[in-house]
Amino acid sequence: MAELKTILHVDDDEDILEITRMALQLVDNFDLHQFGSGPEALAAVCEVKPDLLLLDVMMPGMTGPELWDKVREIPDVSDIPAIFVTAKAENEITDDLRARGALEVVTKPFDPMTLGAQIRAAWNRL
Amino acid sequence: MPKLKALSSLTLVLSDVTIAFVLTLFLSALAPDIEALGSLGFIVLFVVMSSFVALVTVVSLSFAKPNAAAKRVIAARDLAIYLREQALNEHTIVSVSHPDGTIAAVNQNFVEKLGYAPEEVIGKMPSMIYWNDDGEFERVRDVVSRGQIWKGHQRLRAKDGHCVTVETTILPRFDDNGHFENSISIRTDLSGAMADGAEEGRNAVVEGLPDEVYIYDPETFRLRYANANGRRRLRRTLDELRGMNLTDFFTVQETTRFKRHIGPVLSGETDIARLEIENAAGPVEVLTHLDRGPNGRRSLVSVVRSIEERRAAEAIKLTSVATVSHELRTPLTSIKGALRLMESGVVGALSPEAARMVTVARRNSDRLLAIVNDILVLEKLSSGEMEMSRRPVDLRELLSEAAEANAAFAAQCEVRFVVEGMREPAWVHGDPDRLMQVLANLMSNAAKFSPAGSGILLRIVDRGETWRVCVEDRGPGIPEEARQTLFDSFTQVSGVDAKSQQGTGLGLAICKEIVARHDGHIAFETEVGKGSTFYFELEKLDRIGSASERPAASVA
Repeated sequence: MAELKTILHVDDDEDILEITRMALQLVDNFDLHQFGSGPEALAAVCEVKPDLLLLDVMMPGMTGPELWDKVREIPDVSDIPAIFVTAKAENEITDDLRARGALEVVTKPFDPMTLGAQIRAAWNRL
Repeated sequence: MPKLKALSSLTLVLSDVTIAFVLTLFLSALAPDIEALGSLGFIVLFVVMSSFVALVTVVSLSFAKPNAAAKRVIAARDLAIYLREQALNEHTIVSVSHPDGTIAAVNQNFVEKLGYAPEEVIGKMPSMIYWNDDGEFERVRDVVSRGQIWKGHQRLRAKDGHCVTVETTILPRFDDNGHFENSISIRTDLSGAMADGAEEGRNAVVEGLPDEVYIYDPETFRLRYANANGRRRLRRTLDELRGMNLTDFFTVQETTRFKRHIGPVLSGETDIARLEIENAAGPVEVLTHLDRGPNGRRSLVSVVRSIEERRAAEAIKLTSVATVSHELRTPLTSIKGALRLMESGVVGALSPEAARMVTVARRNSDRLLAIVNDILVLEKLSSGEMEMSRRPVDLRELLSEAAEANAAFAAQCEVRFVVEGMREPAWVHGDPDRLMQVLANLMSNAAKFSPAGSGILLRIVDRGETWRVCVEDRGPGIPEEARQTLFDSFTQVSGVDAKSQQGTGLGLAICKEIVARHDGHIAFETEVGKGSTFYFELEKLDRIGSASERPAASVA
């Protein structure tokens, strides 16, 4: 597997976007593209062509899993792996996402100092 | 009687005929000389006649057995006295005392009602059986020795310590010279009547309660009473129930579990035992306490109450709390994340003071998150959302693992965990992850509150039907006022110094919930200044058998 470089990150919470950006750009060195909603991300995904999708689960309008479903319908980007972030630590959601092929499910609150390592570890399992 | 009557009538007639015949004979024989004899002759004749008639009367009376009638009267009087004494003796507590006041004799009722053997009271002062002798005995004796009858209510102390309420009459007795000789005390036991009265009054109130109430013998479980709603559940009339035992309505396992459940009430360890049961008709709470009636008779009283509404309210409360907790996790992610980045120095160096403040903020955000997480766990446990995956678990192994896993925390608190060796495995049917959570909680509490350098003993005790897992610390103990609510949510013992930061106040509530989901029970023993032992008990695996085949609770 090629080295993980470009990540498309979607979360409706601006502060989470900020913290994640800090975590991934300061501690790690990723090319990060961030969006505040599913539709915005969907519009940009073909242009960004990320290596990985980092998606919040609970978002108004379009949830993370719904966004993922739509991306998978686009031929050019249909096989981009996805990591989900959720505040709901219920096993069913986690299990369900994993069963559907999610690379990893990260629970909030996550540790910004280790988020990058966690993502890389998941990427390396591919 | 008619025979006797006929005989006496005949005798009288015969006497009359005899007198008449003899008189005629005498008179006709002596007639010519009567006048010649003069007054002296008349007197002689009169005397002779009188004697003869008297003789005849005596003879006739002797034929008529006049003493039989007298004997009958005397016998009847004796019988009446005997019966009266017998009745008194049967019905009342009788004692006779010597002139000096000591007890001379007691009757069988005295022995039965008060429980003293005759030799235990004879020769003793009666004040020994008075409930509290505040000069009462002397006052009574004063009245009686003056020749008056004393009447009144008294409270006596039975040998086993229970109180017997009596109505007393004390009669003085005098010898022929008019000296006070002794006294007879006649007492009627009122306890039974009072108990019945109290029971009637109580039952009238209890009868109409919306809760089910069962009153039964603590040893045999024989039912003494069930109120209207209790009888409705058991589908029996009061008369039918009186011949039955409460345990007739239980399965063998339920009986075993119930007996274990009320053990602490019977031993006096606790005043009230509380049990929650999931019934087909909805969840119920069973509260059982020991009642000692006015007559000293022990009864167990179980009150069964539907907790469906309370459960629903609790569920709503917990669900809303859980929703709020979920909502808290997102902002917490940003707060914790930001603080963590600042603390690590990647966003620029901080002055030492600023770094300290950031650490305080970060530590408390950790604590806030722990509370939020615990609430979510508790909600999942309560709602039944958290499934227990139970399988055979060796508690001995689990305890060793727990000691190892928590050794780092113990070192941080400057204490150590000491696992008591055990030859046999201790098998139970449980969810090892959840039980580990319980152990970790009890152990971290013990570590937090133990003095530096002390050991915390972890051991498993064979309790017959159950294994008891104990965590014993040498901490400050739990003050009296905190004991009742210790297992409630958000309870923390105040006024006790914990070494590290405080917990969430939910740990023991979670432990209690997990143990309850294992049909076990959790409790503690504590002594202020000495330490506390927290323990939980789980049914031994070999006793459970095919646990899945256990029938649902039929009653209670």
